[in-house]
Amino acid sequence: MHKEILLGNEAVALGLLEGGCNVISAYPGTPSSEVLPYANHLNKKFNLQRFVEWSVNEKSAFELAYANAIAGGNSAVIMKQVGLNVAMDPLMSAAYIGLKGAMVVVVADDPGPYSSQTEQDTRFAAMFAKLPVLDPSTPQEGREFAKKALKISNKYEIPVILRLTNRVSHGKQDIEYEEIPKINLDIKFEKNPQRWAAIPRFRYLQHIELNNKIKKLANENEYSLKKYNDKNKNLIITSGCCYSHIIDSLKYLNCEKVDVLKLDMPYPLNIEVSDIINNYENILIIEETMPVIEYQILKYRNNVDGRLTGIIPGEGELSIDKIVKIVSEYFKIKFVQFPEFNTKSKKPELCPGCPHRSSFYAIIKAFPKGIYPSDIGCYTLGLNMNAVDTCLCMGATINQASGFYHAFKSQNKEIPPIVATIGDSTFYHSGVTALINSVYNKSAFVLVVLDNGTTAMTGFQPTPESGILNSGHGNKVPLKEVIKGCGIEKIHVLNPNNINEMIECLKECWDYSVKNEKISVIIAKEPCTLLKLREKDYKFIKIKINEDKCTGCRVCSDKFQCPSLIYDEKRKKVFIDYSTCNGCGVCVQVCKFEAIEIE
Amino acid sequence: MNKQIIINGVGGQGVIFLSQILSKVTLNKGFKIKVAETLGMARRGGSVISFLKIGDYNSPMIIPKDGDILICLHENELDNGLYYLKENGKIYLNSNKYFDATQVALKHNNPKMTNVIFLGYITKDRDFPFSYEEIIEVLPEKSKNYFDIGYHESKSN
Repeated sequence: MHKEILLGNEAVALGLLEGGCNVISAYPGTPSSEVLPYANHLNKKFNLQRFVEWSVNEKSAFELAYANAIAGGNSAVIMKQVGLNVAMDPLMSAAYIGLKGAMVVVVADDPGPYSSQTEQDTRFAAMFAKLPVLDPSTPQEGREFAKKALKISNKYEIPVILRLTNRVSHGKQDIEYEEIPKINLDIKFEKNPQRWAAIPRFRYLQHIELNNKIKKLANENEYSLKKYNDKNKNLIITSGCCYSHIIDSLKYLNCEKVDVLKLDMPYPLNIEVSDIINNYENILIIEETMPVIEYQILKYRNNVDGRLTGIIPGEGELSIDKIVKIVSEYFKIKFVQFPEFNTKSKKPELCPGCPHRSSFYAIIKAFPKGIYPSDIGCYTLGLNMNAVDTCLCMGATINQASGFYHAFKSQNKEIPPIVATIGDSTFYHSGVTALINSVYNKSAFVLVVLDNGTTAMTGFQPTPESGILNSGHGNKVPLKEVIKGCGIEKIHVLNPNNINEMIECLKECWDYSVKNEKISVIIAKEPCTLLKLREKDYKFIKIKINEDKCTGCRVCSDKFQCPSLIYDEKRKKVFIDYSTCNGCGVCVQVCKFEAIEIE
Repeated sequence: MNKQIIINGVGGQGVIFLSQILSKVTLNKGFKIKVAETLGMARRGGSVISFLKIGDYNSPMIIPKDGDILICLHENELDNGLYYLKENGKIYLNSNKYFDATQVALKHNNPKMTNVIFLGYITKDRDFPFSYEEIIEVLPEKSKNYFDIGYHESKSN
């Protein structure tokens, strides 16, 4: 018997392996990133021989896992909510075609948002795809629902979505588990082109079949009613993490006059729910982030409150403090108002010693009036340095750079220097096709690939360039060769921490690109500092400020923006915060008064 | 035991590490626990906050002004933590006004151990719900020495 404190994501990984998954694939993204590493950990710990893969993007991860399910295997694919947008194409189609074994699609939503572009609700995507969706309220439920999802998937021969939210994914709980048993699945591919490669006429028939499955599933959908008092006329309907917040809120408010109906599967809704709700007078639906239950309830009863009637805010996380307020106001329960939350939270910033800082500093120095499209990753924080102008979605920077170029060119306007930045993992994810598109369509800009050799933001997952797999070594997919293969003729590989070299190279590349109407690429290659710090032979360069030379010009603290260089308002000098300095020594190059010295 | 603990600071200070250590201690003591941690982008130098709810709870989030104990590793983040602390709650603040774990860590040439030194210091307090023995048992080997440093520093104060 093992007893551990597990993250919700880790508990889900446990459930997936206990449920018998033989293939698990994922692309990292907060708040989903910890599922796959823990599955890998358990796989090794119990010598389970399951296949665990970091894919290059969510679409690839989905398609691979789906094939295993067609061949009778049990699959799981894991991603964040915006990752599902990337995998939406195969998902929509897989809903029609179905499968033989089982497949659970684990998607972690980010109400807030804390680390995402949107607050989209994957339960809504499930409705759109006509797929059942389970919505756990705690890590332990995440584990149980993972197993339940596999069973439902196998029974109805369709993928099942397991929707997490950041409070479940990144919540922790004490969890007990036994040794995970080995499995022996009967893997075989039964040819059936009318199903697996259905033409539109058969897709119509598959659609009828899917509708029937959803109807049957609705009738079996489980729910639970927490009754505090038989005479209660007040009801909250909810699913997922909101349930946990609601139970703790009612306890905090000493309230027993409201019952709570919890739906494990918010779509498709069970018709029996209509019998329950008719016993109540005041009904409030609390769910994040979209009115999924609410839209379905309207079929049975229209005098309910929720997001559609403006009681629940249309955006933002339904944090526990918001729920306490909403519940107390709606059901008229007395409570002492919370004080105003008017403190400032510190913005995230690039780490001390981050090589991206050097790249961005070189870019703004080389082209103070440039346009800087950028992308998703740690380097989005180049925003703070005014070196990031756009951030749309994974891989967009390249086509956006191309779009800006053609916008100016088509109207014969002078083209400002365009420098696009993208991380190495993001480039493999969806930058490659964008680069092919831009080369093909005769665009001209400078692309800087910020190659720190890892997927740093989400916890250092390996990239195809490293060739590192969960199970050992795979094949390396070298970045420079890929870029060359996309048709780029001018490629420079350099270390961005040599700032002057990078500035010169940027200028040369832009001249080339404008003159030849071609894209040039700089691979700014330097490992993530947090990884370098883990190495035994890391060379820490201790720096100091020569106060006689420091003029208080603030270039190092405000333009270069290293968090370890702090301007002292009283003394009008910069000092070094040694508690955060990572000893990269790059700032020495930034001070033109030579006030930053190596000790 | 029903106790709600808030740990906060800025990314890189080891808020999450402290949260993990105290979670393990709670587990060893046989209590139920729910924890909420800040992960992802915010960890890159931004405000970080962690909630530990020990006992009979469903949600991992602490209701404002309901927490029992605040462990704050950075003075600038104090208000963010206080928002969740009861009026009569217990505050442990790493600051040069009280006990400066950051300076002690620098003195021992290991600024990354600030969190563990501070934990050592506050463990000495008789209101702190975990004992020296309970914590030292779950600390990684390389941290134990620094935990001791913090623990013994407090004796002289």
